[in-house]
Amino acid sequence: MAYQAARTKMNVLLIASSLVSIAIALSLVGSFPEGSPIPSEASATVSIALAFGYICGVLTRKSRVTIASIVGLIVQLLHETIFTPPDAINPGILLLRFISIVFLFQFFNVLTPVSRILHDLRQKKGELSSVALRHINTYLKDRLARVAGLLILNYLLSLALLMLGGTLGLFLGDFLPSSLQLALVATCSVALALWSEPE
Amino acid sequence: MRSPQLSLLLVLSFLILSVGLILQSQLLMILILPLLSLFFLSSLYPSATTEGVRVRRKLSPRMSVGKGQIRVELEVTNLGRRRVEGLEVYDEVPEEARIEKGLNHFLLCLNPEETQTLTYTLQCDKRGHHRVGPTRLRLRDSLGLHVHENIAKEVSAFSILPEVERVGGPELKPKRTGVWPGTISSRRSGEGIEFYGLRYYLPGDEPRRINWKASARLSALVANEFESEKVTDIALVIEAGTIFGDSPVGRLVVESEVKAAASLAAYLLRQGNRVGLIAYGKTRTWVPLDFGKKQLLRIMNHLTSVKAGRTMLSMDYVVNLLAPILFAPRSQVIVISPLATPEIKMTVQSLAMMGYRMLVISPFLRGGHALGDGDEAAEMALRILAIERQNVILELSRISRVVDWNPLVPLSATLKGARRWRIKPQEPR
Repeated sequence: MAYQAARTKMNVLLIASSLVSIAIALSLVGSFPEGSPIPSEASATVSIALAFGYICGVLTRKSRVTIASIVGLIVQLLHETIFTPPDAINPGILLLRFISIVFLFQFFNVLTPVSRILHDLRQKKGELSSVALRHINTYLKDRLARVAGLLILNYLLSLALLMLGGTLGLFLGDFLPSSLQLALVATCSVALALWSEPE
Repeated sequence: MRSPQLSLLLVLSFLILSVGLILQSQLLMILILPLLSLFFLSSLYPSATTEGVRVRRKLSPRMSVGKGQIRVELEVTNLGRRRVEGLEVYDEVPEEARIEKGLNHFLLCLNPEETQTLTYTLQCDKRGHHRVGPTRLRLRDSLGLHVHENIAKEVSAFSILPEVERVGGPELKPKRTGVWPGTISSRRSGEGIEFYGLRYYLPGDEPRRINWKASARLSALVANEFESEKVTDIALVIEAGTIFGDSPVGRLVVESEVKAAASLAAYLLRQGNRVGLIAYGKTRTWVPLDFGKKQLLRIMNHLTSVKAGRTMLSMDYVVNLLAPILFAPRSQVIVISPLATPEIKMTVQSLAMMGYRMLVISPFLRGGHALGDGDEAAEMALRILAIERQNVILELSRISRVVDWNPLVPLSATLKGARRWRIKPQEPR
């Protein structure tokens, strides 16, 4: 019973959290209509199929299916970004769509320990005590709330960085060629990624 | 430590970065921003480390006979100053045990100075000394990008002692007995129930001892004498270097040997005898002669660690070396062996030559029970082995009593049957 309760609760929480991200990702699928080589209907169908794959992967604990669906969504976004003329894309919407996909991954990531415990539970035919169940519930509630908060913070921070980058680009545009600007951004990105790695 | 998820995101970042640089696409470079801010936020909210987490384990009971349920109590305390959220606690359990109740994997949220007690129950049916632990602790940060792993090295042990069968005990006729009353016939007159002989009545003898028929024949009062029953010294020698190897048959034979030794030791110690042990298998172990409940526990403890196998030194050498040191001369030695190797014959012969009174209990599986059906070569090998073993039994029966025991039959039944055969042991030439 404890196993079923924990599993149901995890599924409900995960689907509820993921649906928000999926809704954002799907609502923005047809957001680059002008000049896009892919018809928006086809793009929407692919996105819905991938979102369905994600949900199935989560429900059946097949992490490979989940990861494949997320990678598929990212590849689809990259494909659309590359083959759509830059003028037809709103960078803010592009960011939002990408963040929603990244956070699908994050929600799945948060639930990995619980999934592992449920897997052990099923394999060893054990049972969860009320104390263990209470701790899992607390963890899920706290962690999902925090990840959702970080999602919003991440979007705001990305927008701020985008605006800062735009201002800097306008300023530096007079002095540096665009390839050098890109190389500068790349160097800064690598430096930031390495700096964010704790000891 | 980096989690696989972080590595995946880093790969994605560098992929987007490379494609963006190659295509000189500013839009693709924009996609780096959420990932970078994610890394940044992750470093801003690092999780507490597992360094401040202390784990203590308590097992009850620490010892069980035959098979048993062991309750494991894990006390996890957060000694740090920060709240620990999503701490994965995984307690390693021995392969031989299965989880009967609860689970050895937990997910905890602990406030500073908070202690949580977690419990689960193990069921272990395999004899041996088993270890629970170490405990693996894993903690992820809020976004699951960094992982702290730690191992609490505290290991607890529990023992599943060999099963003890209630046996009636074999008929033992040692050459030497102790001074204390017991149940072993001493070949001396005294207090007992077995008739020993006749002698003239002496003042002070109990009148009920008078043998009236003999008195009438000799025209003088004659009294019955009885054989006194005393305690004695008994040495148990187990040969677990089975030629069956680590097969199910080999394991069954060794388990039967250990069970027989434990049952006999319990019985003989209960009768007040001094009992010692030499076990030869993958490891050699011995217990000098002693009596009492503590000695039983000592013997059981040593029997728990007996494993099938062989060592560099031959059994003959080991037993010949240890027997004079550990066991009193002319005492009773009970050898428990399947008699499937030639060296056991030499061991028994040399012990008999040292003056010990021998009894051999030989567990052996026959026919289809032994190696399963269908394998003709194995069955043929077993048949040859059985014939060779019969020859060994025949040779040994001249210097020792041999009890041929099928482990699928209870030992007590076999010993009862064996008591009826009164084979007079011959002195070695």
